[in-house]
Order: sequence, then C-alpha cells, then structure tokens
Amino acid sequence: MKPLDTVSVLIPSKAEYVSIVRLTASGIANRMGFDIDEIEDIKVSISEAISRMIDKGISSDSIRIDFHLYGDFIRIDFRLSGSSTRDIFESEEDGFAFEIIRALMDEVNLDTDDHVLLSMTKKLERAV
Amino acid sequence: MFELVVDMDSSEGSGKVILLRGEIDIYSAPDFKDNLFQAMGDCREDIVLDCSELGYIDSMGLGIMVAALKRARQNDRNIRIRNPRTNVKKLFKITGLDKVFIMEELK
Repeated sequence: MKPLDTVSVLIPSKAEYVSIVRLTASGIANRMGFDIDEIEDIKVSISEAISRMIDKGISSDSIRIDFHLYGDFIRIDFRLSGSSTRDIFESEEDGFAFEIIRALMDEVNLDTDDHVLLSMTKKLERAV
Repeated sequence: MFELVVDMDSSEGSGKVILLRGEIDIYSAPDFKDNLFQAMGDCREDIVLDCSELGYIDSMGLGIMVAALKRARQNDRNIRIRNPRTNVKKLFKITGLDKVFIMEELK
C-alpha cells in the first residue's frame, strides 16, 4: 500500500540532532490529527530508537527517518547509511527502550527489508 | 535544554530536593548524570527529585535514576520522585519503575 505522503529527515548520527526529529515528528503527527498523548507516544518512541542507534555507534554516517503518512495511520522507517544492520536492542539495558517502544506504538518490526533497521506504526484513533 | 537545581531551602530531615527542568535525552543525559551524582554527594539524606518542570525523559535518563537509587540504597537512603507530569509518569509505569521508586504527589 502506497502512503499518501512521505516526509524524510536525514540527520548526522549525533545526539544533539535527536530533539530535532522529535520536533518534526510532533509537527507531522499533529497535522494528521493525533491527540496530545499519541503525539507524545510517537515522540518518545522515535527518540528511543534513534538514541539506541547513536549510542551503539552503528551508523558511522547518518540516520534517515521516513514518515509515511496514510489515511488512518503513520509508519516510521529508520534507515542507516554505510553500515551493516545489527540488532539495536541486543543488551539488557536496551530492553528498557524496546519495552517502551512496544508499549507506545501499535506495531514494531525489526530488520524488515534491505536497509530498514526498524519500522513502527501508530494508528489514528478518530473520535466517533 | 536541561537544568538541575538543588533547592537549598529544603528543610532538614525531609530530604534534599533537586529540581529537574527541561528535557533529559541522549544529549543531556551525561550532564544529568554528573550533576545528579554531584548533588547527591555522600548520600547523607534522602533525595527528592522534583519532576514538576521535567518535560521529557527517555530510557537513558531513567537508567541514570536507577543507578542513583542503587547508590542511595547502599547508604540506606531512598529517592522519591515528586510531581511527575503525566507523560513522565507514563514511562515510569511502562518500565515498572513506579514500583521501584517512591512516587509522591505534593501540592
């Protein structure tokens, strides 16, 4: 299924850029109609994922985040440039981060296809 | 942006109050760790982390709080989490840390 729109952000693999992706995610999710709590869930999950990638130093270069906007959900894909894929949640400490992401997002997939390291989905629960 | 402020007026015996302000993420976590451990000193009293102005925390920040709690407990002291915002409280709940720390709501 093709997304209605895709917004991509490419950041250097450095800690100081994580907050910028948080702000971008917040803007996109707000535009799609997610409520404040859901926006917070998305921000936290994205932040946890990128922090794990940076902390492990598995991308020497940059991290690309694709926000795929569908009618009633958002899918966020994380790609790394110039590195082979590795499990970003391998240690016990990382389990904390993975636990948080799994609790806050509706679907989480690791290593989905070539170069997509992590993919997460949040459904839009519209008020009836 | 992140800032840690030690409340010098906190009354004797009720614990040392440390106010956390801003966001704790991978960028500010090292700063948070250094400042928190310095503020704790030799753990002569309980520590109260006032989270009323803490807008954001991630798993790294929570990990640092757990390390601080271990250190406090080695000295028979405790850490209390005071007035966390809803989003911060949610993360304590997901990770089960709301059962590990003493959570308190003060007006």
